[in-house]
Amino acid sequence: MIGPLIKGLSITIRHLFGPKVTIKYPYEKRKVYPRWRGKHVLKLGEDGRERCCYCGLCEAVCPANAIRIYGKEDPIFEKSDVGKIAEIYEIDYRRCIFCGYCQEACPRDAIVLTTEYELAVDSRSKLLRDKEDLTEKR
Amino acid sequence: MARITIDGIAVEVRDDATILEAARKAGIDIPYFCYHPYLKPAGLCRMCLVEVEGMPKLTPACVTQVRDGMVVRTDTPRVKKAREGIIEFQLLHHPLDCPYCDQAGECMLQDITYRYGRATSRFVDEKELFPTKFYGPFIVYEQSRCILCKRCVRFTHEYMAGTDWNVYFRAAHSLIGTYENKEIADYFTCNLVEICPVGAITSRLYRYKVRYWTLEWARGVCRECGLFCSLDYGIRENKAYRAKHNVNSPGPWICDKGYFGFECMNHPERIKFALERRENKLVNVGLEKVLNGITQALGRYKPEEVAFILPSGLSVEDAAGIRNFMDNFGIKKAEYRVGMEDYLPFGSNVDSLEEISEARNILVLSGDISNSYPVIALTICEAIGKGANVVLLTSWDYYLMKRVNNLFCIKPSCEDGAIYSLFSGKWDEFTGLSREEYERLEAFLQTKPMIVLGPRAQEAVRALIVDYAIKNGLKYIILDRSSSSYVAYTYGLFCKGIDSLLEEVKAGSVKALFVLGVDLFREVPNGKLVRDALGSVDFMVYMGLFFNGTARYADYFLPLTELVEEEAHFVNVFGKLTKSKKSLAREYEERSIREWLKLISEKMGKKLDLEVREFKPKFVLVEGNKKPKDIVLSGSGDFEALFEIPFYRNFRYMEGKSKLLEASPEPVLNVSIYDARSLGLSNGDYVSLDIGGPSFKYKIRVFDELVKGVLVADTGFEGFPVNEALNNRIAKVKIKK
Repeated sequence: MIGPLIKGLSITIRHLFGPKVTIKYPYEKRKVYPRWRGKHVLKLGEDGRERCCYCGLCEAVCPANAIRIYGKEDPIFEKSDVGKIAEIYEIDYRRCIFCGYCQEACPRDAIVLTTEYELAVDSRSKLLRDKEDLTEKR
Repeated sequence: MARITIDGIAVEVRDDATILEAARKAGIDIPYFCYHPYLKPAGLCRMCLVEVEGMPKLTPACVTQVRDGMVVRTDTPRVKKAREGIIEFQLLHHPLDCPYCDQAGECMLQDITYRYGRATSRFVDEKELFPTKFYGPFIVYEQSRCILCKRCVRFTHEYMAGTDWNVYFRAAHSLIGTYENKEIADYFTCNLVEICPVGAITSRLYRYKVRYWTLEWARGVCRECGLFCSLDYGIRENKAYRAKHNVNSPGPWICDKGYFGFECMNHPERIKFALERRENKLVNVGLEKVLNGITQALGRYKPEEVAFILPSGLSVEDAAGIRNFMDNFGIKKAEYRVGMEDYLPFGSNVDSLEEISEARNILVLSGDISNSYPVIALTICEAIGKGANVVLLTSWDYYLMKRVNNLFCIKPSCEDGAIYSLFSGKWDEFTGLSREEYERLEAFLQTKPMIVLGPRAQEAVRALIVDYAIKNGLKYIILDRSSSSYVAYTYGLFCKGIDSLLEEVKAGSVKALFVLGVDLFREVPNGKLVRDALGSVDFMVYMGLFFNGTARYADYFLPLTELVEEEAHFVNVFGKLTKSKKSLAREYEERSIREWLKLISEKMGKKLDLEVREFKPKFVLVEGNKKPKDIVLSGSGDFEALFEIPFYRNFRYMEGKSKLLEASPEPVLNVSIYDARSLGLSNGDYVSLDIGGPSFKYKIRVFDELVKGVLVADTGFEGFPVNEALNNRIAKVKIKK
């Protein structure tokens, strides 16, 4: 009868001093692989202007219908530019399934899925992320 | 009939058909860019090359006529290779920027490349890119994307006869545009956008707003003129973003008013709540209170003290609703002729636009057909292109005057007299026509031309022409100023004319007024009378989309629906019914005219029947022979001026169509070349026009065809009350520099 008890305790004691599997989550973040699909970011170009040109491909390809975009003429228009930017860019995080198709479809590498995975918010309305929220901060 | 075989499928076609037409009939897909069913074949793009048995080389299908027993193959390796080659050449300088291009999704080059092109290109050279060009407020031209199919150029040459839209420069430097890059806003510019198979010509109103594939298409009807062209509106999330013509209803082309005119539906200034006047301001107090207020106020008046003023573009259902409402309460007075016209509809014996385009001789009388019925003017131009002899007798028609074969230009006050003398067979020297001109016109009348009469002519002239045409077996179209004349007349929604109605309002015998979607200050030429009448009206309900000069006098404002927000039927000038479906959901309190009347009627305890079972338009019968009324000119001065609303301002709910208004930014005064010389004026100068009291600042446009001593001045501008100084369309004026 004592045999199995000792056996069990020995496992417990062994794991007590061995390497830990869990992490102290809020104080310590789990490392993810670089290709992790987390929060979206609308990238800016080298000149600091937004890359997105509202081609609508991310919206068209999105299997969950989470993206909604409207475009407009770029107010700052230079000769080499496309002359078109998104007026509204919304991703509905209640619907998004993080498949990454939008990133794949984007011809200008404007929308990118980052490794940020902490997406919880305290109200549902905040899950509808608009252009300002999504644009890369520099 | 010729029998030919295409890819093993036998098909029978007309002898003069082309291979491409035969293939379309057989259901075989031959790719093309420059072919268009309503344009003459050109054979420019070489995309439709096919192999014909017995011919050593590949043949373009769009220009090759069929021959009995012809055997055509479109699926051989040779044809495939040729198609690939053509596309590779087309894409030599064509930027592959479909993500930015507005045409993506409806682009023929995109579709054809996807279906018939090679997956890769063998060209390694850099693509040449050209700057974007803006030709006027409607058109964007991207030279890099142009494939030089010349569809737009052919359209302007075949239909719009006389614009300088063309291919400039040669070979690789070719570009399409106007001479010296001047603006193009020539009534039908939207067709250039519609006809372009690639993204070279796109619309500035739609530019970069939404992508084509996100739009859902709703069938609607343009209400600007009596033709009621059927249009498709591109809708996304309950908002319309663009219009598209659906071919052949009533003709293959449309005008700018319809194409860009849907903008008022989602204009930010549109009012969508029922409003009540409280302390000199219209405020939103809730629907229930507004309805109570209207019913209480209406209860105070006798039926004969209430009157309706109706808009143009009235639907059959609305007209029937108004009729039933008036019958319910015994109201007698309603008027649809807000342009101060004295006539009722005489109708026409022409059935379609095709009949006009195929006429050999056309006599166009009075004006302003191109302004009020643009597509009819375009069809007349098409007839000119087909070799018809078109004679125009008018004082002012901006579009047609430059394009007809024979022009007889007279003074505006002589117009009716000249037409009357022509049809009554007595030359009158006071009409401004010389004896010789009169004889030429009379000789032309012997060739049995089709008669098109514009909206400016008086009732006596109309009756005479209809009488003459019926007796001599001529085709005629009598056009009315108001596009709702057929329904309004059929339901008896008219009284003695707008001026007598407004006089009654002024005198106090009519106390309550329902103004339905008309800005009286803009539409009624006698602005002084409008101001006096509205100033003394006791109670007024205004229905409309926007707040304007007339709404300023209203006690209640009721928001209306427009275009595809309601289901409606319309009767066009050929007596045909067109249907507009309800495709947009209403957001707030907007309703159609009949629904408002139903609410009011039910509040007052009487049911209103809105169902229309049958509609058959009625027309006036010609009785007796009347002489046209003499036009008494007010004011003094050396010049005779005609005041008309310009094309790009002459539409319903002008306030909400900012894109169209850009084409007519300021009031223009058209001066004949003789007067311009004697006064030392040139294009772009500013003068002030003295109309017996106030003077107005105008920009000069020298117009070669005008008669000496005649001016044509624009009205209908906000904050530009020319109408209020006039009591008719024609007046004597002075020019001050």
